[in-house]
Amino acid sequence: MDRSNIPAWTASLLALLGALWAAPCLADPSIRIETRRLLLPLVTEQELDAGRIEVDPARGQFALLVDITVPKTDPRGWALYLRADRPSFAAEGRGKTSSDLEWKLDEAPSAEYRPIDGNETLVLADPEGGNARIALDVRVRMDWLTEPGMYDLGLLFRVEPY
Amino acid sequence: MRRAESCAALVAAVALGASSPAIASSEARVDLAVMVPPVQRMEVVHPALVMPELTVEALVPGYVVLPRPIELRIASNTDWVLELRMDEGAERGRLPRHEVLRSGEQSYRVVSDTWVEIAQGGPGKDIALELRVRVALDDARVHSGAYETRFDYRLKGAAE
Repeated sequence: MDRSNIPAWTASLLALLGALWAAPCLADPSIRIETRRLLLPLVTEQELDAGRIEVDPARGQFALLVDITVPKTDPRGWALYLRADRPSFAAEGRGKTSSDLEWKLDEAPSAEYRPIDGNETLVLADPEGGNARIALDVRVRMDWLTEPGMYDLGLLFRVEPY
Repeated sequence: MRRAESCAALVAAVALGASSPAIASSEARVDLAVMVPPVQRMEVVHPALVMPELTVEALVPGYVVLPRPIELRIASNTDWVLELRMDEGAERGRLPRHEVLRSGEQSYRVVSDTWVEIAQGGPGKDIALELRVRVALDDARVHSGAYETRFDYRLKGAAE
């Protein structure tokens, strides 16, 4: 091996390493949610009469806080997506589909609740980019025909450059 | 040249390793859980029982059917059973025999000091229930006078 070529070769490798190292970190905004498990309040007859249990009894009370962090050097925007991890609540067989779970932005009116299913839906996009904290409300539709028991569903959030 | 290939592989491994945390943190999962307990509600819409004015003719059958039924409204998210008994404060033993019939059924059931099943059904809201009451007057212990009757109601799950 010709030792005179090593510095140039090393410089190229370091440049490549730097580019590969920096590119993903700059490109990908990151997401953070403190809440791992969201346990809704115990259902009462008032909720069964209303046809839903909701974590937004008053504006400003939210179910989930989603923090989006973007590197300062990244000028691009971001988009946040949400989907359910399966088509129906566990335990399976009770016939409660994931679309019985609905979400909205905390500041939005009740008319903007939207159902969740296995397909990703856009929660919020910010073309300007930058860090953000997003408060979400959730509610689950149920009534007197909903069989007693524990119902579980996984919510999957994903953020990507916009 | 072998050294160059080794270094390139190392660079690629380091680069992939560096990008992994960024990819992983672009996703997050939250598990949502909601507990639905067994819930039941019962409302007695018209609890007052009014005895009609008795005549000799009315006494001939040996009983009097109260003109106004007891109206109940039930909500339950499980199969349910409705039970009735004479109220604990009632003058048991002195009262004439009371019998109750759920509208749509054929045979009266005697209400006693112990719980008696009167009706059953499945989950639902605003389930209307009408109970006809008749008072037996052919009982030897029935004497002339004023009687006051109250019922206790109990709604429970069918599995209890």
